[in-house]
Amino acid sequence: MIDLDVPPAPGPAQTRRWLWLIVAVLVAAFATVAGLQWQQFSLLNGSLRYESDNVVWTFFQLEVEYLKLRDTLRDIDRDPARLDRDALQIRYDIFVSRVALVDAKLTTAAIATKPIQTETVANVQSFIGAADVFLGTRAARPLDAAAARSMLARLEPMGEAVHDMSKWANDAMDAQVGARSELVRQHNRISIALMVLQLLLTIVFTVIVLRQFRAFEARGGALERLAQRLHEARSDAEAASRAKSAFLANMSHELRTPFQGVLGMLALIEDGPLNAQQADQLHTARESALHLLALVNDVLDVSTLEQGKLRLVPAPTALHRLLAEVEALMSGPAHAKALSLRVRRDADVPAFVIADGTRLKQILFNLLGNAIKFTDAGEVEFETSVETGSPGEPVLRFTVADTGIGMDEAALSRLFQRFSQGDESTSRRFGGTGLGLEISRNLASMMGGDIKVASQPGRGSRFTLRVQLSRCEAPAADPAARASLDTQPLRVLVAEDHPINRKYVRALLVRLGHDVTLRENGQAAVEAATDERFDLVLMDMHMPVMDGLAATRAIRALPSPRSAVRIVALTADAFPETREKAALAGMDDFLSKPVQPAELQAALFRLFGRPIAARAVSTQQSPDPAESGAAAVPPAASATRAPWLDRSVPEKAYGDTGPEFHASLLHDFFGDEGGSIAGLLARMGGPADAGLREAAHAVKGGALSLGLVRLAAATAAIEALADGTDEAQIRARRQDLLLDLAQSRAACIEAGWINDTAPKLEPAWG
Amino acid sequence: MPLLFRRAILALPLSLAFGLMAGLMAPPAAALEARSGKVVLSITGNVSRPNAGANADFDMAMLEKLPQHSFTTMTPWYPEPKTFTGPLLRDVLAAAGAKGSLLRAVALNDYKTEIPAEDANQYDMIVARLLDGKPMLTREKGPLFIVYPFDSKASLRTAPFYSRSAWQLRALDVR
Repeated sequence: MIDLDVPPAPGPAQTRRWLWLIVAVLVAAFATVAGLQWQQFSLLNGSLRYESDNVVWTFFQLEVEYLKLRDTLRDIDRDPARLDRDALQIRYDIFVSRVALVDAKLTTAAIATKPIQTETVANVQSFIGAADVFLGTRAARPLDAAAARSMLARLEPMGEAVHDMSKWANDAMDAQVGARSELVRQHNRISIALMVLQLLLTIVFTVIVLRQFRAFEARGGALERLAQRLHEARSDAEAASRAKSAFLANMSHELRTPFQGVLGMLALIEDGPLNAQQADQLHTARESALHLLALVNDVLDVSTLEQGKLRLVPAPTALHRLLAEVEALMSGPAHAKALSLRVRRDADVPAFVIADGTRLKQILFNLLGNAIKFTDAGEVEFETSVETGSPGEPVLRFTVADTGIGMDEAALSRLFQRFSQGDESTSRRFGGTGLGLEISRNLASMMGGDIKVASQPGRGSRFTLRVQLSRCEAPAADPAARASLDTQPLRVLVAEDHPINRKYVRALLVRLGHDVTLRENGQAAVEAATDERFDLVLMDMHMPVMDGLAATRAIRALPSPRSAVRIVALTADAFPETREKAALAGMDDFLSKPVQPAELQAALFRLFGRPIAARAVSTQQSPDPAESGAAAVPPAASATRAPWLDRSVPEKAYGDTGPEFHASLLHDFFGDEGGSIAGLLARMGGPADAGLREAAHAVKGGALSLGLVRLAAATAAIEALADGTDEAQIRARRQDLLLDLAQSRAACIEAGWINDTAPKLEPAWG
Repeated sequence: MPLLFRRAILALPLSLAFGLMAGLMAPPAAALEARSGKVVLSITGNVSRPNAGANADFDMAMLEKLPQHSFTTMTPWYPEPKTFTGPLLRDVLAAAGAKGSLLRAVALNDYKTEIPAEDANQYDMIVARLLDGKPMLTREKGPLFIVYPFDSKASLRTAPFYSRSAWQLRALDVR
């Protein structure tokens, strides 16, 4: 359990409300201060704009000019000789010019007008009206001492009023300055109060923010710790999952080793004398063991997929051959259920592509296996085509359609889920792990493709694998190896420490017609490979004294041509790393234990181009056909080991006319242009007489001249039997002959002598 | 800067005029023309082109001959805007060949105020002869009135500039 004690996020709605409130008050306070400042600014501006150039000064100047004019007039009054008209005129004009400046219109903005001002100014104006008679611009009377006296008489009484007026202006101005100062002081007081409020609010704000910050920090820390714990928990879970996958892989690996023994021994028992019941029981045991092995393989695949360890190994792959292999392997189970397996391949399907052949086959086996498994009657169709209109590399479409039980929507939706089959009842009825499709789909997506399915309950299913594969050239096969293989059995060295496995592998190889040399450890194998020349070494990876990797390196270090031998790893360990190690040590291929005949054959095919469908008839040791010659070998025995074709025939017999001529003859032969094969088959149902011998001889001759040595041997055997009277035995050989014909044709196609459009022997003959 | 621009434009014909005068008259610091009418403005102190002893005296006709400028502005001395007309102060100073950093203006009533000489260059101050197109009487603060273009700049509408505006101007002492 993970402890989720993260503190709740701080700052619920209440705190946020407080913050907003503080912000609002701060904004209001700032606005108020700004308003006050503006008011003061306007006050100052106004006073500057409308205050005259000092109102008090103008009042005093008026008084000064009044006094100067009065003194001038007094002087004239005392001594009329001192009358200077120009000087008096200037004094008077200056006095008059001062009067306009104390007019209420100009001063009222600065000082509120009072009667003392208006009355005094009115008196002065009336004086000016009288004085202008002597001193105005259009003076009516002469300016003399009498005029000066009369003016003085009017001027003198105004002295006190003029003085009082300037005193009044001064006081009013003082009062106004005092009032303005008081206003400013009051503004200042308000400002200070607001500042204090702002300071307090800022402090509160800071405290709240700090608290929030600390809370967030604490929460962040807690979240980090939680993330850490979650991370650890995830790591633990992943580690546990990895451990489980590794355990599964190990277990499946461990399970495979005893299987080697079980399957090996079953195979050996199968070769012994058995009655029908025992053979049936053995068959069942073998089927069950194979089924179990398939399940174990599925589990192993899933665990390697899960660990991301499964790697595709794309390589040039013979697609036609691969499809033929799939067909060959699936036709058995299909026939066993009396289903018809219809295989079709479009002409434009490329012969060679870059692909991981093993995995592609695995998918196709799975799809076909399922189709056969879930179909009780009808047919299974396997089609390979190239999607039209796909630019670049071809998109291949492998379609497997059956007439089986089908699935409904719900079943379809669960289909690719792990451990899921159509439904539970299906599971019980058909068994299986349900892992196959998941593996297939994973493999398909690793190849960059996909698997789609369409199905209807009761009407069958159609699975389509779509994958884009690059075309490639046919890989250059080793002609020497091919030639030697087709004319001789392989000399195989098996290095394996486990006696049962040794015995099993030996039995397997001998059944396929090869010479086998056994060694118990790597050291002994290296010695054998030094002394003797082998075509192939099957090398167990884990052996005492010297393991498979070291032995491989030692063999690769031998002088040529000993070092060039093909080496195939044998191991129960199916991990990709092991595969890589094997490749690094210089091994050519890899077989996982328990070795299945099909897999071994596939490996031989990959390495030597040997037809995979080589018939395994007997484990009896037979004389080497290379020594006795194909045609001379006793027929029954020779059929088991002789190669299908004599590769030297086209070169020797048709070297001049060219391979086309040889091919056309083969076409004619397999098409039974002359009717000789049909004749032979017909006679094999009848009495063993001279007619039969002749018919067999004719076919043998044709086969020999075309290089179909094994078919020649088989017909030679029939020829020999025609002298006897055992008609039942001859009839029994009829089916074998048909198979031999088909195999020979396949071998010809394989060898490139003819292509697969060549006429085919139809079972209708039988 | 419109102000600078205007100054540059004004300075151009001025310097041309001086250049012409300098070319026609030698020595360059020739005396101001002789006065014929009544003295209305007397420039004293550091004057390089005197016409009356050490002073440069102007009658109204001489001031009229200088390029005339005119602007309308609010002032503290009238309740309404007034149009002032007359020569630029810097033209008057240039005509007298006055050079200095400080001007002391003296009014008829012996009011004295100090004007930084730089003001004459910086602002288009005029020595107003006409108020609303009419000659100014002494009783109307005439005959001459130094006026700043108060409405052109807020900084001019302050007490120092109001007190530098001398009316009933009689003399300018250049230091």
